[in-house]
Amino acid sequence: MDKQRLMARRSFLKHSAGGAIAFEAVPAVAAANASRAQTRAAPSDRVVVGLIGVGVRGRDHHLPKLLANPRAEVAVVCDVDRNHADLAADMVLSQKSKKPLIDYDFRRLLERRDINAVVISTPDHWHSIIAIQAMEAGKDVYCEKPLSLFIEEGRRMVSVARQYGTVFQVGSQQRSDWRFRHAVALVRNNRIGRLVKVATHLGNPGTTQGAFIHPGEWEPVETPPAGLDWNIWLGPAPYKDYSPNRCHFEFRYHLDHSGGRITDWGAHHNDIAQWGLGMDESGPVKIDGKGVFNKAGPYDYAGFLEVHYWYRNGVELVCQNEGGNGVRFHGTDGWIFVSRLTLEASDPEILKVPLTGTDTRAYDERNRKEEIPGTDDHHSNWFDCIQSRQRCVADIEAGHRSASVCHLGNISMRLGRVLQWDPDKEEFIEDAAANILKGKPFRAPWRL
Amino acid sequence: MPSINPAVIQWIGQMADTDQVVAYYAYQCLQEEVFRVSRPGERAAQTALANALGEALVAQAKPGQGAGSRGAASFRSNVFLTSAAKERTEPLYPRRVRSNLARLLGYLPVEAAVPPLAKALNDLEGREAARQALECNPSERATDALIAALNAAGPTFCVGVVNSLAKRKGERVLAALRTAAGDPQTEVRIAALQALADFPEPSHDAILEKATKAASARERRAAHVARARLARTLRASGNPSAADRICRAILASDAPEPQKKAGRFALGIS
Repeated sequence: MDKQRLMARRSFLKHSAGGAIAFEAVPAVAAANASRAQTRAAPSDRVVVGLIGVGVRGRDHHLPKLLANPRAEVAVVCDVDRNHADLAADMVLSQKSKKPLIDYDFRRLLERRDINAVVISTPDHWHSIIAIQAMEAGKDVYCEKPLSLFIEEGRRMVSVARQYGTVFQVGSQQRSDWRFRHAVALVRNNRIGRLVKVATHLGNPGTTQGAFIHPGEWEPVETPPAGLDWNIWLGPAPYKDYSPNRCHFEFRYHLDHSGGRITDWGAHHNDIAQWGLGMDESGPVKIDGKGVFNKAGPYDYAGFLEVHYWYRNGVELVCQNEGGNGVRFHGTDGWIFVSRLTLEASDPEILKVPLTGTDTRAYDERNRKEEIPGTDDHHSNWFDCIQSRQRCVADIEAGHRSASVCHLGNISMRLGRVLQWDPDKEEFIEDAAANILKGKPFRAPWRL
Repeated sequence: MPSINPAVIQWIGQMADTDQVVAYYAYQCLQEEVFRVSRPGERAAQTALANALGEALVAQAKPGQGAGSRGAASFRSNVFLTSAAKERTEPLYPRRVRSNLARLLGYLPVEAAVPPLAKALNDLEGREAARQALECNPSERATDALIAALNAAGPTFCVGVVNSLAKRKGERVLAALRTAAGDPQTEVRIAALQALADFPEPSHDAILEKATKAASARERRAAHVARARLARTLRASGNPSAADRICRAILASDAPEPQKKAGRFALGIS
């Protein structure tokens, strides 16, 4: 957005009684077709957003996307680390010439009636509590993947979303990437024949040892830095004394806060696998996971993993570190490999034949507004759906099911055995210990 | 009773090591062992392991000789301790080890895990970990222990107990939660309201409706949200008529707009 033009427009509106009416009379379509770099969304299209969690992901990914999207107004940034919140506020100020409000407690943010929607970019162990309270406060939600830290909380989140009619987008942004969407459409329309196997590759760690980050390199516990509310950062997770390698970005490697590598990258690629399988409302029936855990610590995730899943329709999903980074669909008549960089097929012709009018699409895009340059389609899809009240491309049920696939893998790896799963009842069959791991007690006073 | 892996006792002791790597390694080995014996059909092995872990959890040492103590000599020379205090035993293992032991016990779905965890509910340092472990245990004895813990001091801990009871079943649980809904501590009352909403009992709406008129604004808001939750619980349990009644009552009340909107949504009213 041209800052000078924006300032001029604001000045005009301020000083002209008829300005606001004239501005709002511009149709949304006409506004979208105007020069996008100079267009501000109509007030009816604008979504006032609160951003909860402005660490690395929040500031490097969500905030730039939101600031570039004329439909978004970032009104509040919230983080339990005051340094993060201040940095995020400065980013907004530098681009919008107006500093957003800063808060350090998401509960206060949710009480604000001017906030329509929230983006949740906190560590995984906070997703469920914040999302549920946001939905109960009437907000639409964009929540980073994986949706949940454990299976039971994901199901609760779906129930609340359906009750409140929340427009809920899970941060599986590959669903808004044309390569993945096209790959899934080709698979669903049998362009590689009957689907036999899907392989998700989470990135090659090299050696087994190379799968681990800083193995055995413990950092001493210390006083949390000034400005960080460590007790709230931990939230529902078990209490542990502060050390830098447990906090902020490092949360990914502690099972108290995340699922490790399988939910970091697996949540993306297993989501695409589920999408291609047509399993957005279901899941596998058998899981066999092998994981290597580094007993020297300090991180307790499975760095090296291979998990096999079997579905009722006979398709096998293999999730592993090796083989690059992406998703490979194997059919009776060929294969398709898709990643963030490429879309390939056993026969290039498979990719060239366009979808017909009767072919199944991966997602109904009839309500999609034209792409706004410089913005992320995944956020735009969310804004489209906030207006149309259609379900997002990465709807919460799909996000719950893909996160569940990752959690099932983790449970199988940790228990070291093959597990039978009922995707309808969402419980393990005749394995009480595995069913314990579907949930997780919350540290008081937090609850779902 | 099958014998346990002889390394278990060694690992338990190593968890108290001041070297983080040694302590962590020992915990990971114990966890691996717990997961190994947790497979279906291994109840006897699970019980044996739970007995060993539980024994360590509640083990006591002579004054000044606990694993986290500064030593018997400094204890005896402490002029600020009364004679009675000097006779009192103390936990053999430090808090972090007891928390780890409780956590491991939470992974074993056997009744043998309950008595030591119930005893640990009286341990101010370790009771939260014990409470979380009992929450995972499916036995009725675990439910009994949690109900008894509602009388403990400390609103935050009591809130945790209420949250754990919300995941149990049975009339005794409901009775305990209904009592907690009248607790003098606001936080406990709010937690109890939320917990009552998780049970498909239409009669709970009367309790929640009364709470919507509470003196505290936070409690009133929590009660309105809980009423909406109760409607959802009833609908999911196959009682849509009771759910609809509550939704209509919400619409007629001074509930916040999001709860009214959810009510309209459920009733199909635009």
